[in-house]
Amino acid sequence: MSTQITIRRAYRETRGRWVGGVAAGLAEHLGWPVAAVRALFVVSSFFAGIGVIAYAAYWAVLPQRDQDDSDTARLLAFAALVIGGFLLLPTNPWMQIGLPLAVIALGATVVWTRVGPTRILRPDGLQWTALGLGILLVLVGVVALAATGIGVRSLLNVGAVALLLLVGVGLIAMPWIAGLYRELTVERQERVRSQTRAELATQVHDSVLQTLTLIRRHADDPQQVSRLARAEERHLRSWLYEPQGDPQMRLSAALSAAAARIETDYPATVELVCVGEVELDESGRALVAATTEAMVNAAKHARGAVSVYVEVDDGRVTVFVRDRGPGFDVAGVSPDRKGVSESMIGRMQRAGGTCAIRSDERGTEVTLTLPVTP
Amino acid sequence: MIRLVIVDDHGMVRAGIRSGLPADIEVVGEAADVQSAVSVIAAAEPDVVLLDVHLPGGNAQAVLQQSAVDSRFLALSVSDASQDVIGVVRLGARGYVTKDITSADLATAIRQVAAGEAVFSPRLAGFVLDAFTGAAAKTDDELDRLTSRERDVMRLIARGYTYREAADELFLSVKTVETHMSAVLRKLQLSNRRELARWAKGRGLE
Repeated sequence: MSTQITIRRAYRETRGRWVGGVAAGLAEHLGWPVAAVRALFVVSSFFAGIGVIAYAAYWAVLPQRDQDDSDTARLLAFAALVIGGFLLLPTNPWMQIGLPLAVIALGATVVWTRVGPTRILRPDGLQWTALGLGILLVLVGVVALAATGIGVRSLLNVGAVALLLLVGVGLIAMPWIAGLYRELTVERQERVRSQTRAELATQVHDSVLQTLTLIRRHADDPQQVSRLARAEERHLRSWLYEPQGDPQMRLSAALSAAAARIETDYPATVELVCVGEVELDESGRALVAATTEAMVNAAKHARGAVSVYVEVDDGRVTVFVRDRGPGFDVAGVSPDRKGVSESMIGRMQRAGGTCAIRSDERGTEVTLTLPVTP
Repeated sequence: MIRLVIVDDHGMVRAGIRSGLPADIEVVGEAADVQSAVSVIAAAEPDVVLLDVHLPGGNAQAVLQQSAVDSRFLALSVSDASQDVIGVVRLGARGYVTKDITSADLATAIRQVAAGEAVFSPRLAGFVLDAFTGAAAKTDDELDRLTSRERDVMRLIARGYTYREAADELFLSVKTVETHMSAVLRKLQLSNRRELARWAKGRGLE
């Protein structure tokens, strides 16, 4: 068994406060209604300002609970308190100097609390309003302060002087403001640049560095090295120069993905040239599959370079797959050879297209056609 | 004997090209940037300039524009982005090859350019077909159109055929195929087709 001792402390409240949270905090601590505490402060203020002084003392002593949540109601209450405090003072000089000072203080407070140094980077409408209001209040305060010495009639002159003063200060501060702005711009650009660099680093790591490691491991196998280099080159090239298309959606993207796979799997290079573009539907995917089969055959039997030309024109896609291999007797291919009869001819016929094969000692060319709706 | 100048900012690339060239092609000069390229070309007056598209201190454009010699240019690049290809060809290059070309194919391309022919890779042929086809192809200006024969030749080149194979396929002489290729090259350089202009503009080549 252990006894838990809790020390009750009084805080300045951050929720439901009007001015500094002193009254709300004391009410919470004492278990009194908050209105009664506030009334006590107000009433005692009429006796030589005891309420105000007590409030200020409590405000200075009591720690704040949780986070600050500045809101407009609090600002207005603060303003009312300050102005009210000065109104209570009977002597005239206080009125003439104190009120303008209070207005200046209020203006400054508005600017400081609503437009923080972190927020000024991208001020929204409310902050611009607060800034304008704050500056206006400070200006009015300054003018009022100056007017006490020279009379109300010269108020306009004083206003002009104040404006000139403001412009002067602005001019003096201009290089500093411009420098600050420039610094911010530079910083932002730097951030964008470092993001780009990070992206590039990821890309290089994922592809180039991995491939270089693989190449080093296969250093005694020239064919493997050249295949890896070629595949990496294709990958990097497509990343640098070509907008990435979805291989599921577009014919050229699907074929270049297939070509890349074949170059990885077989010791052959595939030169793919596409003129025009179509969206892939069911029959389009059949064309991709048949073309892939033709490219695999060419890479497997002929080795070396495979030329693939794709043309979309007049409501028709035509694909030519050409190699410079030894060729074969097209008529002599037995019907049970699945690769040619099923994967290419059968597939194209079912999709509503055609497949023609021409082969001689100079090489083999497979021609696939498919009608498409433009 | 064909006199050749190689312009490329990578010493390794220049060395690789030089070592793979046959005896009938002599390297008379090398340069690594725009300024030295212009002076080397002016001094050597070679038959053919092998010109890298991307150079420090400008690009191939500057070399092509500042060289007032009769040399013929063959563009060379690692990238086969369309704007690179179209851009240099429009500035007067007689052809375009990528750096992964074999030494034998490169020698053939250099000889063709030296003889005043056009060198089209399958990819360049694809670009040409891309630029000259489509709905906008119906125009009266003959510079903006390919004849059906020119299209046939371009298609075969795009399919990976050599000039000789294309000639056999179309029952033409090799000479006729070469004539068609030169005509296409001229249209590529002179046509005002929007696609071509846009490609070239994209690289700041025009």
